[in-house]
Amino acid sequence: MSEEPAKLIQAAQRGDLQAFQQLYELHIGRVYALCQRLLVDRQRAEDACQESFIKIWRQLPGFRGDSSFTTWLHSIATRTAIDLWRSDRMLRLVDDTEPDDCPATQPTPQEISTGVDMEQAIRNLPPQARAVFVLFAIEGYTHQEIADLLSIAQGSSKAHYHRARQLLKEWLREH
Amino acid sequence: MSTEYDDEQDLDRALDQALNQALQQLPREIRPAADLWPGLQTRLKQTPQQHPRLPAWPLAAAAVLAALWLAPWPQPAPAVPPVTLETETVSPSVEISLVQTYEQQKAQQLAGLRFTVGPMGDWQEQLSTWDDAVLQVRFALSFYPDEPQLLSQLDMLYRQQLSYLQQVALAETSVPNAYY
Repeated sequence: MSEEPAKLIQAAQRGDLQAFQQLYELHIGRVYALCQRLLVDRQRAEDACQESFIKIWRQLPGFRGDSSFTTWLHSIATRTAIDLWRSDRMLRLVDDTEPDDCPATQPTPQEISTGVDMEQAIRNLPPQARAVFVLFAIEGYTHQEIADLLSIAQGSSKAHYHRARQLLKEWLREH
Repeated sequence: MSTEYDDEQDLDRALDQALNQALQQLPREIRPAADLWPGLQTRLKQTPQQHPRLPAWPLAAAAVLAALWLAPWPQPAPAVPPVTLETETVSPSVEISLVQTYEQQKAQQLAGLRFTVGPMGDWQEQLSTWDDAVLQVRFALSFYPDEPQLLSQLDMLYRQQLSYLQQVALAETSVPNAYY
């Protein structure tokens, strides 16, 4: 990194694409991790990343430093990923407000010892439980924030989180 | 795994711990398999950045100051012709030309005044309050250079100021030089 992030932000706010590319490189890892965990599908995760950075670029001149840049950037990425997640669910016309008891696939025994196993187990959670779990346990949002983001009750967020933990513990127990 | 535990509660606690540990080991970052930047760059070049809209308070402050000056002063016949504003096709230089025109007129009027305190009181203090209002509107214009309402407010403030100066000048002519 050749420049300080603050300078990069200022340059990108003035329309400097090279500076923005450096900001992108700094943050793409975390943004993609969120998108992939939330959306599961690789192509959708990449779409969400692109959409996020388009929005970030567009809104960047309005960033005034009231919060940290990382917080600001991730709030945009989170909302974008959730919008796609929500539209995916609507497209599938699936109502999973009651979590599935049968995740689609279980990780193979080989995956269990590789470190990829937990990622796979999270992906196999029912969509709503997965979204709540990712946002709460990995991204650090509160249940109230998650309730606002997903347009659900705070109690539902807690219930989905509890359900996700139970499913993951069952999975751990089996393996 | 469950054979190591005597009761279900211990097992649940152990699983909780195992889950927490597994979560802590999850990577914070995952790089996408494909390089997304080239495609993103193409789209960014076609995406204009949104510059922030003016926060509400400068507009409100300008409006309040303008309203304050509208209220106490009876509106005289418009002795000062307003500067024509092309509100449909306003350019950023309208503000500058408007300010220059009125400041020139103001300077001419001020040059003709003899006293700091005349029959209408300390007109300089009154004038400075108008100047403050003008500055507020110009500050708002720095966010909205082509905002017709703000330009109209600026125009109105200058006209009020010039009308007031005309009244001061008239008042001065009605009293002898030795009055002060």
